[in-house]
Amino acid sequence: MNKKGALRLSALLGAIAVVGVLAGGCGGGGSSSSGGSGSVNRPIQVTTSQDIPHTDPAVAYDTLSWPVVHATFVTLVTYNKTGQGFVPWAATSVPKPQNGGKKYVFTLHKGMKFTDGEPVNAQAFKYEIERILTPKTKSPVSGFYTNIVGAKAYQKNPNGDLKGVKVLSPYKIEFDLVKPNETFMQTMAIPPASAVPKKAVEKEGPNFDSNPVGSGPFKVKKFSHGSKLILVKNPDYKNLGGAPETTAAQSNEIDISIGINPTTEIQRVEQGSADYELETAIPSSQYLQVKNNPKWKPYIKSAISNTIWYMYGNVQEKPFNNPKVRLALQYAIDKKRIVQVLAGEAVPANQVLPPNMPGHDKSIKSYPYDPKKAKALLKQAGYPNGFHIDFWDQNSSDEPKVDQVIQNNLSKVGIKMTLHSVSFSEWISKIESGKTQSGVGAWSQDFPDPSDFLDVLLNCNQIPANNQAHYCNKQVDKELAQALTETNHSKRIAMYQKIQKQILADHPWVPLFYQKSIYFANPKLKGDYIHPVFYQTYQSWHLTQ
Amino acid sequence: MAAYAIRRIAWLFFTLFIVSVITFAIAFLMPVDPARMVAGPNAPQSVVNSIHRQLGLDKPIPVQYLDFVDRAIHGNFGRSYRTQQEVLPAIMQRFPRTAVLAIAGVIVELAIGVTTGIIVAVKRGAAEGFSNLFVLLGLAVPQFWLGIILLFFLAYKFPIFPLGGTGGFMSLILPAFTFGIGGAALYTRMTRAGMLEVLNEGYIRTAKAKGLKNSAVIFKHAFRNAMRPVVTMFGMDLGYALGGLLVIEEVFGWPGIGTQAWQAVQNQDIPMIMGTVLFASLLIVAANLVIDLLYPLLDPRIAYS
Repeated sequence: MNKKGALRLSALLGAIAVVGVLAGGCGGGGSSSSGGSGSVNRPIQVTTSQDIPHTDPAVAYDTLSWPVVHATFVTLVTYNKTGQGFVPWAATSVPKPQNGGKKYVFTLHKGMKFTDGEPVNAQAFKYEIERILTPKTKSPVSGFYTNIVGAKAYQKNPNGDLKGVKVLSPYKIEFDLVKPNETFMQTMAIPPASAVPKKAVEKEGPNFDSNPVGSGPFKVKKFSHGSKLILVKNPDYKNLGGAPETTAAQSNEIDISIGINPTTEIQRVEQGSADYELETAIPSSQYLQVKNNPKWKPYIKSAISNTIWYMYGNVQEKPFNNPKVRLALQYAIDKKRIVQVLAGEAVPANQVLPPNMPGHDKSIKSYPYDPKKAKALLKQAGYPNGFHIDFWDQNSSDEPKVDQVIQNNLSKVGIKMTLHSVSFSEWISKIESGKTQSGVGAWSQDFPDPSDFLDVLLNCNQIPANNQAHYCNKQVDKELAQALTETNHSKRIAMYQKIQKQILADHPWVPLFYQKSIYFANPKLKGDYIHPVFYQTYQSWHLTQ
Repeated sequence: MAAYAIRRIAWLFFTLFIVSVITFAIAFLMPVDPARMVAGPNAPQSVVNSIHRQLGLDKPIPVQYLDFVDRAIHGNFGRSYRTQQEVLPAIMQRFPRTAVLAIAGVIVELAIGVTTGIIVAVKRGAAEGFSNLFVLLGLAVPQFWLGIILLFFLAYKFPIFPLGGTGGFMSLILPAFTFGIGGAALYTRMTRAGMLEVLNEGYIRTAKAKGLKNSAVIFKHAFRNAMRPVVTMFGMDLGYALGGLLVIEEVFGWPGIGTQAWQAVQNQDIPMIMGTVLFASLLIVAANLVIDLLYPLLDPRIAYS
């Protein structure tokens, strides 16, 4: 190349460099490859492929938003580490129910404030419940709070007063319920029930969802949808209650990089340029690789989550209306094989309630995989040559693999299956129409209470959306209603165990597996246990040398 | 010229109108209720119904479209169903990143493609074989594969560049090259063909005969005339790239408007779908228009009347 040409090339490279400087300037911020074994004071680097949808407690309702809301806002009570009990947080104690389980009075700690200076008081908690019930907020969790006296009237006329929430004094708040309901305390401990500052919410409007003002251990320093969320320590926060996350060693900053593809996420953690990847499941092909390499063993954090996957058939129609057919299916499905194709990111299920859910019954026996017995039962049921079914499932991640195992298992006992493997959006609209003959369903908890599974998935009033099996047993419904109001905890759990046994005896489902939450994280990151409700408790995270 | 420009601008608006109708119709043909996507899989039907009404989805679709047009004319594209952000500011927040990547990518393809094209046209011989191989590979290699391979070797195995994300100049190089290599192959072929055609013209022989230096013949006489198809393609390329580079943005975790549009589609976020599709269409149509209007400057033989 002659000199002039070389000059032109260098001009071009210069132009690229200018663009590059612009790229740096326009923010985003990515990995700094200087991470790894450096100082413990550096920000903790977190990655996720999916955007974090919300930071406003009133609209947050997913596993990525809740950890952020839990880190930036405060509820009256919160969960202990196991998620199976409550501890006070903004309240001074966990109140006992009064008036036959229809009244709860919380006394608040004084001296808490939002990052904009507004006090955290009874009014701030009442305001949040009002927001959730206001239709304009479009809150997905409004259904949890309609048992409060006056809630339904308030939904119709949000300018009126929400009678069932009384501000007795600036630091005392009373909740009155229409019917006693033991899940009330759960609805007070989940992130949506956090105190929010009225002034900031009214000033920001819907933008509050991206510029939240909270009172929790962290505050949102920057939130750029689809690219970055930065949490920094809130210097004004004091853990006055008994929140189990000790903030003594709390990190100063957590940087969440959004939109990184799952393969790159794992590579970043391996390389040390990220400390934690937020996918709820590592892609199964990659999970096998890291699982079988002793080097990465300390990096894998895993816990069985409160999520059940099941196979259902519409029990009100042929052939699933025949109890023998449903019993045959219990023997026909090879759950171990399903877990195997999921690379071990699950455990076989034998009941509705997952192992970490109160009410999970260890005495329940699993049905062995026995296609011969299944075939014999089908013959007894009047289907010696099997039958044909229409089967619906989502086509995301590993689900097609599960469907294929089921298809193969069923064909061995003579059941031919037409598989409709569709997108989530198509799947859910089909489910809601109640027109699926059979398929795979899944449910993740809202909160760790057996009613959130048994009442939601198998009550007659949940047909067709959540109760895809169209299972309806009036006796079960009656006992579910009784259990909901029982105030003695152990008695209540025993009631749910009895109900579950009754349901399982009817075989509306084949319980398939409980999903594991698996994260890949730098072992130098401490305090990062997987919480059954919040998943990540950022406020307890810290790095060690 | 002015009349031509006005006519073309009118066409631009007409094109955008057609795009908006088609996009709106497709968004509503999808079988799911957007309110369900807002509420999440666990919310009961009554909550979904309430959100459905709040979003105005209970109105007839033509009425919803007219509402949309009415608001859009006043510069208001609504708020994202999912993130509650205003659509236009949300796009403008991410657009600079796509713009930087698009410009860098186009520079890479031009730099490699045009340079190789000229060299091959002038030198012929062995260079031609090499260039054919490069063109073949450049066109055949899928972007997502090239991106993953570059990331694996140059960011993971040998951590020269960051592993995805946007963090300064270094993070721009791999995505820009991933985009540029495929395009460079096309430019090589186009430049070479154009140059070969022009180099056989009589005026080139004349230029050589009057004793001009070889570089002057190539750059001053031949290249300028061979450039017109390259400029046309450059305009279309830039418009297309500015509209979002979904595959590259996805592979490299580059938060531009390509992934923004993709997320909107996945979440049935209709205001965001409308916003991102119209924005990308506007860029493509406008880029074509600008290039057409620039022709007479490049080649005085072309004049619009």
